[in-house]
Amino acid sequence: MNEFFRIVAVEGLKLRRTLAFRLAVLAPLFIVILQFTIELVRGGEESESSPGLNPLMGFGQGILTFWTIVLLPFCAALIAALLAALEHHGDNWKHILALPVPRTLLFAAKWMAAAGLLSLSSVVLVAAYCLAAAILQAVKPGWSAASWPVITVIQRAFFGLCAAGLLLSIQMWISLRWRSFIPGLAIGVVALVVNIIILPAGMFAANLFPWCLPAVAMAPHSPHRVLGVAWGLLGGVAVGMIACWDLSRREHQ
Amino acid sequence: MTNSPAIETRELTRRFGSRAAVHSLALNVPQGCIYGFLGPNGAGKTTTIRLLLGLLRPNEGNIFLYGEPFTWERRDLLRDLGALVETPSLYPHLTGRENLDLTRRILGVPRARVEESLELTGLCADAGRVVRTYSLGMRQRLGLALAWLGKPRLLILDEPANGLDPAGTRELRGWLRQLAKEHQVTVFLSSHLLSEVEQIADHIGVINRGQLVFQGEICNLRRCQPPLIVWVDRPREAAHLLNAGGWRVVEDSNHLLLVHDVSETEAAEVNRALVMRGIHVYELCRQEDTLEDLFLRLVTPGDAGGVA
Repeated sequence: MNEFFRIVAVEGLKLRRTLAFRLAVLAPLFIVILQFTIELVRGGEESESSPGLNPLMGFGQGILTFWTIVLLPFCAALIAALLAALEHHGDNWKHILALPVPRTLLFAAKWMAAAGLLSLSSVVLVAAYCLAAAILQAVKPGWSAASWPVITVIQRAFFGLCAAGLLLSIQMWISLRWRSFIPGLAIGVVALVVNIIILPAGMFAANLFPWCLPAVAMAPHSPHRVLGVAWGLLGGVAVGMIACWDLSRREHQ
Repeated sequence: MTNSPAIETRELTRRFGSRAAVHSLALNVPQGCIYGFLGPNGAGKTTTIRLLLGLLRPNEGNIFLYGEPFTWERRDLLRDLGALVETPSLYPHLTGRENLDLTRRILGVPRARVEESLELTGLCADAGRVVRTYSLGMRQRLGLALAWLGKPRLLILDEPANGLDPAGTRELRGWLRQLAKEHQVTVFLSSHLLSEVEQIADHIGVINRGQLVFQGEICNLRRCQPPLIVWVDRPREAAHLLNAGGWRVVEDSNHLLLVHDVSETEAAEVNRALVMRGIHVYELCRQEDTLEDLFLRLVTPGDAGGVA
């Protein structure tokens, strides 16, 4: 177990000065700043994205919706591709796969690094939301009395994150399996388009399609929230384990 | 176990499709030696190294490291082994020291090893710079430092002098000699340049088209008989005659014949046979081969020396 934690720590150290790390921080900031600007420039006392709701909750809901439908799946694809590129670039596999540690641990640690970055994104998202909400409450007179829905926002962001497990595992498998950036990103972009089509249509398939699961799990009144979280999380673990097994058996030519 | 070869392979074969990149390879690398693994580009050197590092699976045959059978599952044996395969595997966005620290943590060796390795490869002053600013030679040094980090008993180096300037190459040779002599490290050094290997190796293996065509001490390679050069007036008839007599003859240009595997006494017999047939022998001599000639003779198609 110690060996595994050592390798996970090494994966963490590899992230220094990487684009993947910057992306994990900047992507949620981007969506919060965008939503914040929209709320700031428009008048009125209700949230732009969810009229009739507690404005702070409406503000959070707008951020979470855009995050789980668009940015989270796209970030997962990019993070997976960038993490895999760290090893594909310069063919570092020939060094790390010749080290005296089980290969499955090396690949499992990569998964942990990717999951860690997505978790970091969610933390940044919630923290940035809190800061933006505090500023909005101070500058928008109609918002000053609104109660803080931080727990609800944290809970929904957490559900969205858990449900992203399956799509992250698929993206990681593809990115580690092929040296080229293209297959991972292409699948990520195509899945994103499918996401945007089937989610608003309310099709049941959305509850099973991996790239839709974060949005399904985060949606306030979704009857399939538990299914989304369970399928995303357990499916992610299962696919991750199969992928680690597959990758560790592969030769490095 | 203590006298077992550092590397031993038996019938080691690896095919890619129908092409055998390595065929029935029987390496025997004694402990504590510097073993030069030579062969032209595409001969199977890197495939052999990837098999030895467990990056590829053999189709047939076995590998033994210090007498222990090395299989895909026995990764613990890699603890005794440090390697530099082709170009160094580095993270360009990290500093030289950080690159070493990553492997150090995975190997679970003390932090002091990083500084030792940096000192040995002369990189202390630049260890704080990110690797993307390093020259090719500095990257190669860092790759060597990575290979040495775990203080392995066996170092496998694939073209380690790539990118090093003459002073760096000389330093590398001194460093490898020091490791072999003072630390009893076995060095398996792959190269396509004989000049690089002959100055440092005490044992040599020559691979060509996936097969080992020579293995032994470097002095034994020097002892291999060069072919007999025979200058005659009717080369085709002479070649036919000598072939019929059981000699292996290659017809060269300008009325020259190269007769292989001929001892001193047999040379006289060759001469007699030709003269008896009425063929004029203008000259009969043996070319003194340099080590490079011997190497080329071993790896030139249709001109195998048969010295394995």
